[in-house]
Amino acid sequence: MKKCILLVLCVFTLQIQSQNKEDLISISFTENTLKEVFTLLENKTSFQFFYIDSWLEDDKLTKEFKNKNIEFILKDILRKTSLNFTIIDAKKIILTKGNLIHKTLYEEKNELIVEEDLERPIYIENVVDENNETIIIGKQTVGNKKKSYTIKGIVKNKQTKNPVEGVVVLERNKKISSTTDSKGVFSLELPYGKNTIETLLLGFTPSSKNLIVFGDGSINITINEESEMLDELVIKTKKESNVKEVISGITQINIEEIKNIPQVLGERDILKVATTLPGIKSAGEGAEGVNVRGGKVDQNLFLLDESVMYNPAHFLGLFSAINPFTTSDLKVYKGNIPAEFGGRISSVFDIETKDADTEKFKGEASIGVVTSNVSLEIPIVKKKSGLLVGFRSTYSNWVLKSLNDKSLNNSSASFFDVIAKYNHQFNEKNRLKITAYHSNDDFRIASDTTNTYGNTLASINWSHKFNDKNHGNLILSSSNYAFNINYNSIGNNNFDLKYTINEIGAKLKMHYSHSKKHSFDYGISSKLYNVSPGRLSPSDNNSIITPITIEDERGLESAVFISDNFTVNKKLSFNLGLRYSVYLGLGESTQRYYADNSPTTDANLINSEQFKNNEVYQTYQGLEYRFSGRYFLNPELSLKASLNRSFQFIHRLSNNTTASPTDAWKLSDVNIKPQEGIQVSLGIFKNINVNEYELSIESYYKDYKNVLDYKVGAEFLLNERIETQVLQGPGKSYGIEFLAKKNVGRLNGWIGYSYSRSFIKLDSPFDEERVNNGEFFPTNFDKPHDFNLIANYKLTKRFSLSSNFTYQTGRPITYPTGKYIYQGNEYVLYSDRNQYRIPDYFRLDIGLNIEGNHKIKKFAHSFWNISVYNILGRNNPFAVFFATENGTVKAYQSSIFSTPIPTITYNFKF
Amino acid sequence: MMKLLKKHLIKFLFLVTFLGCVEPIAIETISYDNFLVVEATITNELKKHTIKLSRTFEIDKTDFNAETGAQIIVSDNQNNTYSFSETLPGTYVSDLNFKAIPNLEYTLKIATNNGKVYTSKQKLTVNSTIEELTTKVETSTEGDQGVSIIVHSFNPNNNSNYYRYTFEETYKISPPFWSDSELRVVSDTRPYEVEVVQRTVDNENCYKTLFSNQILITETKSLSEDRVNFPIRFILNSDFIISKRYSILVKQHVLTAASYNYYETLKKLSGSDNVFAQVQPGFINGNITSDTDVNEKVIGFFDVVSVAEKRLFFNYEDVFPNQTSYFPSTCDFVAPILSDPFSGESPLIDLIKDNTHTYYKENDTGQSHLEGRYLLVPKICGDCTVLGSNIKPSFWID
Repeated sequence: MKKCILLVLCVFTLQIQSQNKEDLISISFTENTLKEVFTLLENKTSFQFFYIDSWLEDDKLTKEFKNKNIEFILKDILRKTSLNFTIIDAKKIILTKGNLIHKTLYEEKNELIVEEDLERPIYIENVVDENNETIIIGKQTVGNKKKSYTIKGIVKNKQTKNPVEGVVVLERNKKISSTTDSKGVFSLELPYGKNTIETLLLGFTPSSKNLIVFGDGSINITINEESEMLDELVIKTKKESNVKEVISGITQINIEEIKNIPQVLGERDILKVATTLPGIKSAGEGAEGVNVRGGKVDQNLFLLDESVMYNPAHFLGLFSAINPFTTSDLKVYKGNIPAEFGGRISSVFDIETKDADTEKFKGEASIGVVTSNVSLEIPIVKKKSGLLVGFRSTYSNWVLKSLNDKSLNNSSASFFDVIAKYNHQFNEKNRLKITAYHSNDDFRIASDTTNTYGNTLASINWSHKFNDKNHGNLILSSSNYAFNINYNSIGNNNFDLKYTINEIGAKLKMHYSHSKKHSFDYGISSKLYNVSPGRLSPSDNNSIITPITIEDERGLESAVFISDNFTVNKKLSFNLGLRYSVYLGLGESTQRYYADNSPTTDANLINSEQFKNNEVYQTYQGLEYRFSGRYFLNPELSLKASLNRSFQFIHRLSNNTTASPTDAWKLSDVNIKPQEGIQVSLGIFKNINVNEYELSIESYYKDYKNVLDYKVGAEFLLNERIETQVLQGPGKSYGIEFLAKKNVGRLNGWIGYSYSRSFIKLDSPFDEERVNNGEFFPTNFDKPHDFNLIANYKLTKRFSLSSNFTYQTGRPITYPTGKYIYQGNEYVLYSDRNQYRIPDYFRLDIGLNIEGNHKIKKFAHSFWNISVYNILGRNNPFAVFFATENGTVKAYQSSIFSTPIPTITYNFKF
Repeated sequence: MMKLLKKHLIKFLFLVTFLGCVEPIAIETISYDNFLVVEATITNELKKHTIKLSRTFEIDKTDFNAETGAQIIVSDNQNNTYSFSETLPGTYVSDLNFKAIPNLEYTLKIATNNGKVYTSKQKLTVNSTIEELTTKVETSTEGDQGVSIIVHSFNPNNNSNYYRYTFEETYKISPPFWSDSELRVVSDTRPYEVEVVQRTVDNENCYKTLFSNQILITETKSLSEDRVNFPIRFILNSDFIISKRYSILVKQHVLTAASYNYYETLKKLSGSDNVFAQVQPGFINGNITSDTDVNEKVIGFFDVVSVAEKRLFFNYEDVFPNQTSYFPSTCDFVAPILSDPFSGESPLIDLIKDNTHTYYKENDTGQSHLEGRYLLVPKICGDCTVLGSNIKPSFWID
């Protein structure tokens, strides 16, 4: 910083030429330190020296000069040091370390461009990231510069102090890289000036260092084993992980990367960004949930710091319930799910919250038209513990009230979420993280019905390092999801309807680095579900509503797992995982048994059996396998394949169109069987120009068993015999996904396209349990074509433009194909299930990011985001539905955002 | 209750879309499926049974699309065949009286005039009885008072379980300002003259019969015994149909489980405040199949059901003592003068000829705006045939 100010100073002073500069001086030094040398010079001449004592080395100097000018003398004595000097105001000599003070920023205008490049002043930015220290190598001299210098060094393991072989040391932007040899030694030819080198090696936390290269030199780097991840750096590595990651079908999104993507109503939404990647599809605008590789909405496991989040959406899916400021990253496992995770058959969304800074108080806030968000990082014990808190809320009530529609004047909609994470590093071996989260959504519709829903999560994660080879995590988690419908009108039928699902779980996860070839992850996990599927009660004394309570459900889901990260050789590695899952349906419960070879209807109920508290009424178990492998065809091209099988013991009961917050989750029981999924996938991954471009093609085929679907006329609300409403059948989905990413440069972004299909078959000997003649038919979310383009263009250092284009085939729908009269009433005739489609979906969003000024001294780093959602004003149908009004059938099409929605958000960080 | 929930779910859906819009769209018939619709219920009542055939019609049309020219035969497995003849377009009536007999299998065969043949087989369901029909004063969900008519039945064998109800309700209409006299025009030219004579048409008391058209089903399978207490009808106390004397004939059809399920699904897909989004829509498979093409869809369910029936009468004051009943029209007297001295016309005779009013009595009101000699009331207030038929049904007991 000081240097920068000096630079600015020179601009004003350089024109004055020194009169004394050429005066000849005779002087001699004997065993003098530099400090003494300068003092002697000051005494002998009228020059004044400016420097910092600590720059001066203690080397003794013996020299004699006769009739030399000051420049000659200084050049000679400073030749072996890293110091430079500049003479200003004729008498002042400023010493700088490394940097050469340029007399003017425009001084070398007439020189050759190459020269100018070499002479270019090097600005050292104020580095925010403390982990990225800036190292100066060599010293800056005028003239005689080489275009590149050799930087050598050794990479050592910080824990063992041993050199590490095979570490990639690279300067990403300049595409220069080297790999350490068996002694940990590397050598890089780096250009003059500022360079950023990164180290990459699987199993180690990547690190990066800023180097200012003025000459040849050496640098020693220590790297950490991955167990002690440093949050900010994780991201950068994953660029190479495109080709390197052994587990196929993993997508990682870092919150920093998505800063520039145009926003919906001013919110930076990590889940929305996920849906722009091939294989992950949003269920629809304004719909909750995502469909991953042709799987149902309920087949995705959302984990927030290891706690299950049942509904990761606010406001019917318009916003995700995940605070972007407190999130460090999101990993989506859509191909091979690591063996440590289970219980869902399509994907795992592993959301990790940031660790609070333990040294500096930091904050981030955004103020938008619809929502505001603030997060703070508060150090508690210096270098040991910190607390992260985040709070997000909306004022869409205000938006609703300002709308012209009178029927909405009495409506309200609001949400908030709050998160707190405490992290404590006891010592090198023990670390504790505690996360608590709560979200709440509230809608009041036309003044009489209030819907409330929310997640409450908590987790405790204790990591312990036993020794260099073994470490483990003990995780306790709990999650609660509840919704409540309150009807409050003038009549006598006011009611409250409550639904709650609760789970508490424990997981012990161990890691053992056996050898270079094998590292094992193993452990056990168990969780207990408690579901209250419905409680209807009168909400006031006048109400004549008869209370209804659907019997509670309980289940225990447990698993043991082990996986081996097996590196066969540099090219080939495997991740081999096994997981054995056991599900126990627990009493107290009434289980209903239906006659064999007959449809599951009330008619065929044979017997109901009562089970006592904690009595096991049903056991489901099975072996899940998770195999994946990677083979490097060359260092930038790899092949990956995976084969895996998973079980799911819990089912979400959604209506036919889209998931809604009032969908209930149902545990498997004697009638409803666990869902099972087997996936095989194959992918080819290519990085070009040291990860500047990433390309991938992945294809998959999935086979499902017991996918839940619904009988015609199925209803769930307050229905205690869900088994009579649902059908289970095999499913299949397949697809091919293309992704091309450009990671660096002024223009960056990605293009994703997938062609995918998803089918289900509901066959039965009984008419009422057979859908579409018992043949495979497209699921509600079968959207074959899905194209996304995300592009960011950096106009200047402060301005960047971004855009997002999405195209999707319209969702299948069951359409009325006629009417008929039966016993005096008119009825609608429906097509085969999902025989037709709603119109295709497309949307273009544009955003402009304006970074705050780059003044050094300012309170906060800030930026403005102005974005227009759906700039084409496309009226994308969200749903087409039919209602009988006065005896005739009417069709309605609804859409969420039918006009361009401009928003502006102000963000700042301090 | 479920209705309420549904209602609020509609609103919910609309809220979802508040940022954009919900707009009615023209239902284009993207594809029109032309299927045969069969209404065939054979009962254990000795009568001429009726089967109706129609076709589905396009969603944006309203025409009933009768299926004419079909051949229908119902046969049992003892070689009895009953043929049907088309009496009205799409309505086929059996040529003979017959009733379904227990344990026989009945086969319905329909040959349409396009050469296709459809079949369904059913057996008669078990017998049941209606124990009684009762009334109970209740309050509607909107807070209004009314009367519920409740069916009670009990089957000690616990094997009927699934019930569908139909009813015919008949109500007596007695206009509040009826007179046994009427006005006859003696001279419609000057000098005008009218006279009061005995009525020629009996229009003091009339009757009207309405048929249920809703799907009324209930089941006892989920109960510990086969006992029905089913509210079949709710009538507001302000409803004219119960203002005098009311009668309801309830028929209880015992269904098979499959048939019950068919009606239940049909009902769910077409509730009056229906949000289709909440219920999985789809084609409802019936029990009639095409012999010519197995995959051809046929709408409807062939039922062979045992029927029990019971009739209930009640008067308004039986249910709502000390309350006044309601008449669906205001009855303002008019008393036009016989001869208008200024225009020279006769407002009274004009009114009689208009046939909108009827005679009530001599004007004894003394009110200045009622100038004429005779008081007349709107026809609906003095002539029951406006609202019903003056033929007393044979079952009617006063």
